[in-house]
Amino acid sequence: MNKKLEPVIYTLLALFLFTLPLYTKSQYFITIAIFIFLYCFMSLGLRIIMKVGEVSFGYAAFMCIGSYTTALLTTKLHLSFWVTWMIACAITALVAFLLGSLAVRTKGVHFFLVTLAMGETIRLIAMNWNAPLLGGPQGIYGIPSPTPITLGGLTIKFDSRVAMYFIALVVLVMVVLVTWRLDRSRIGRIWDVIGQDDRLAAVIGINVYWHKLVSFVLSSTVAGLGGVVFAHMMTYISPYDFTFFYTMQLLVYIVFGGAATFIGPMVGVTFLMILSEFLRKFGPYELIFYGFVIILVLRFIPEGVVSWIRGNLIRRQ
Amino acid sequence: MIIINGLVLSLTYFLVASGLTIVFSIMGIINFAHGAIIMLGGMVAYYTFTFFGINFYFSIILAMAATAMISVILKRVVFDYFAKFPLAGCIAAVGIGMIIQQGALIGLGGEDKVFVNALPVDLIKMFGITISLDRIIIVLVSFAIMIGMLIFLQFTKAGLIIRATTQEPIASQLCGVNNGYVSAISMALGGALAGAAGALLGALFTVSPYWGESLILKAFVVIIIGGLGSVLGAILGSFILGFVESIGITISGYITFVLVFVLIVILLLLRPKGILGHE
Amino acid sequence: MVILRTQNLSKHFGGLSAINDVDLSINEREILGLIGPNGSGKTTFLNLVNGLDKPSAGKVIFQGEDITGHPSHVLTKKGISRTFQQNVLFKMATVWENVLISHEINYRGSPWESFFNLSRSRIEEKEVQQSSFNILEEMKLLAWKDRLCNNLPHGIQRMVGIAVATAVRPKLMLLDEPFAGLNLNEIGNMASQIKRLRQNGVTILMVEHRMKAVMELCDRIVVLNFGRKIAEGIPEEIRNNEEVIKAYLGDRTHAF
Repeated sequence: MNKKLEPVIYTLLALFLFTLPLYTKSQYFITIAIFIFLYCFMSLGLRIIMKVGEVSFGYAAFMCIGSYTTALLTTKLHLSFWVTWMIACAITALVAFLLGSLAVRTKGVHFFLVTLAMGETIRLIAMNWNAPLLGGPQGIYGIPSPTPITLGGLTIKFDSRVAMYFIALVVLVMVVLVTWRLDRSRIGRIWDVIGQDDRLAAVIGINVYWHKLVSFVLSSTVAGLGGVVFAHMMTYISPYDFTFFYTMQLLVYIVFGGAATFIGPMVGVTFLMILSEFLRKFGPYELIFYGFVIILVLRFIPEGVVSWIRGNLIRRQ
Repeated sequence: MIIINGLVLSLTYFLVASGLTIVFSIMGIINFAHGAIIMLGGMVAYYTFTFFGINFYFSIILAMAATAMISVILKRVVFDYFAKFPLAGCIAAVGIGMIIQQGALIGLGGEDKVFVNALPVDLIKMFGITISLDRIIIVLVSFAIMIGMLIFLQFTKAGLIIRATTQEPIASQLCGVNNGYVSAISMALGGALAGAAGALLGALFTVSPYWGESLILKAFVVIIIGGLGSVLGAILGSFILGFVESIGITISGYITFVLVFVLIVILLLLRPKGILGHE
Repeated sequence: MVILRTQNLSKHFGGLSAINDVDLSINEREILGLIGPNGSGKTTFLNLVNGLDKPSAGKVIFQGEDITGHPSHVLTKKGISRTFQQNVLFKMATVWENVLISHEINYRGSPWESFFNLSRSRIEEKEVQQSSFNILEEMKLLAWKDRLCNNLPHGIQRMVGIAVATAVRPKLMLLDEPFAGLNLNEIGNMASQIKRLRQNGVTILMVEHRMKAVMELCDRIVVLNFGRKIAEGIPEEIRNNEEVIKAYLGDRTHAF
């Protein structure tokens, strides 16, 4: 890809996405778009911890924390969305810091398993503890949409699906910018080499533990943010929304598209989600096709679709 | 009562987890399709028992053979290509699990399958407590399988090769061990254990297409506790988890996972690799 | 001036003593050779000094400060760097990127400044790039600058390892068999690079099997056998030392 062409393409794409609701009034498309945005930035978040070479399998649990925090604050304390999203992110970051300081002592498969255990435990707490507060297996319903904002004389209401579309899109753009900046800065370089060889990274003076912890907290906070968007869009959340299957699904998207690039995960999300919508008409056979697509693509392109495309283009030049 | 429950839980967790840990040590991939394979084992046992009228214990063996074969086929057809890409391999395993589960759903129906009269349902009195006979049988059979596996690993040539490759993969290659052969045997072993788990647990409870998924989580916890890559670790882990849960259930349902969580936290502080784990 | 000293340093693995009660000191700007038959514990010793392993007993003192058991990244900050017996590099990165990232310890500003692209960070970045360029130039590696490290010939990888260890700006450099696998040309180049490093003020502790290189380059030599120090002195003394000759008798590949 010509480096000069890329920003142009991205800007055009952004323009298109921001004006999409003008072209279509279909709730169906808008909803799918929201989910695509949500999963896109969630997968970018997971990619952050994957940069340092680790996979956090408890990722969905941080989404759970974000969701529940905002849900509780808006339903029980009647705080405004614009306040609760920040509190939710802060709390998610705090929990991530505490749990991460323990989890990051492990590496590789052990880290994977430990984060899985932590994640499932958090989910089980949401399911079993203090039903009056947390809603038990039924979860929390009636989560309000964001409160209207008054700017000058203009009051903007956020109680429609289109409003959530824009909120999700804005969050996506923010996460994309952060990821892009991360990749190009010293932090990105450091995390990259930690992911390649963390022993050598330590020998050249990098505090691997600290960096992994920061990466974990950042990654989990993005999940928390995703949880906030999810809660206000669905208006109803339950512990069943945050199992490790969702983390696994994100992983599938990321690996399919290619974890090395930053558009890879987004390509994976978009392609596979559209594919699964398309396959829905085949009923129970949908998942079988889906599984085959994943296996076949990975069998031939294990590094992910985008990495492969990039690799081939470079070779041709 | 605690002891019996503990034993039941421990041994069944062991069956579920040991296959996973063996496959991981040799293939380097966490087989996410493991749950689906367990489910297949349960299905094979169910159908051979219910529709072909085969003796239950024999159907367990059939299930083990079937899952062993399926595992080896999966290895040849899918996993071998991912030797250098463990993460992609794990995702591919997810895909396989999906396919198997959906296939079972479509082909075999989604309702719970009950093994009628496979296990005796009598209650007997032992040591002053009432225990159901079916649990005792499960304990005995699982125990037998576990001992059988340990004997295999310890005393046969194939077992020795597996143990050596688990601990020192490169050194084994230098000694001329054919890695393809070793991984095939370990997949078969892992698959067989999964099949046994499926058949036994299926008889004790029920089998349905998505049942395997929920079991995998427990397997992971076992492996965290006991350490990955070590069969003894799997045994240790399953017993610890089994008994902790058994105690927890007796006290109060909620306590269980809190206990497990605390256990994991303590473990992380002291021995992050699991008690007997190594890479 | 003694820059590094070990006191009663020991490392046991289960029943095996890899390093047993080793007292050693290195003077500033010295090139100290550490030799011994295979399995005598030389790499383990380096690991203990470098922070990759914790000693079972004894102390390591660097520039008067007790650094026993400190982790690697802390020690690197204090001025210790090393190379490895195998070619340990960031294989999926280019030579340039490897040397660049190794400057990380020298940045004054935090890496987050770079995230926000502050002007201060951009200035520092230019300095680091200049430094990387200089290092590659001095080591005659500029031609390989943009090659991925897993595609490099062995001799070049070895040199890049030295470049990476230099980028850290160490006071003490631990070299683990720098001459391993090099051909005659490369040996000459490596030797002159090591001498250049010493001229620039770096102290060197070198583990090596190639006796010719050791005898020519080192100011002093320490000999280990089965984890114990069996001899210490200038090259001529070591060459004629009975104990050392006996220890090596099984190893006829090493001509004195």
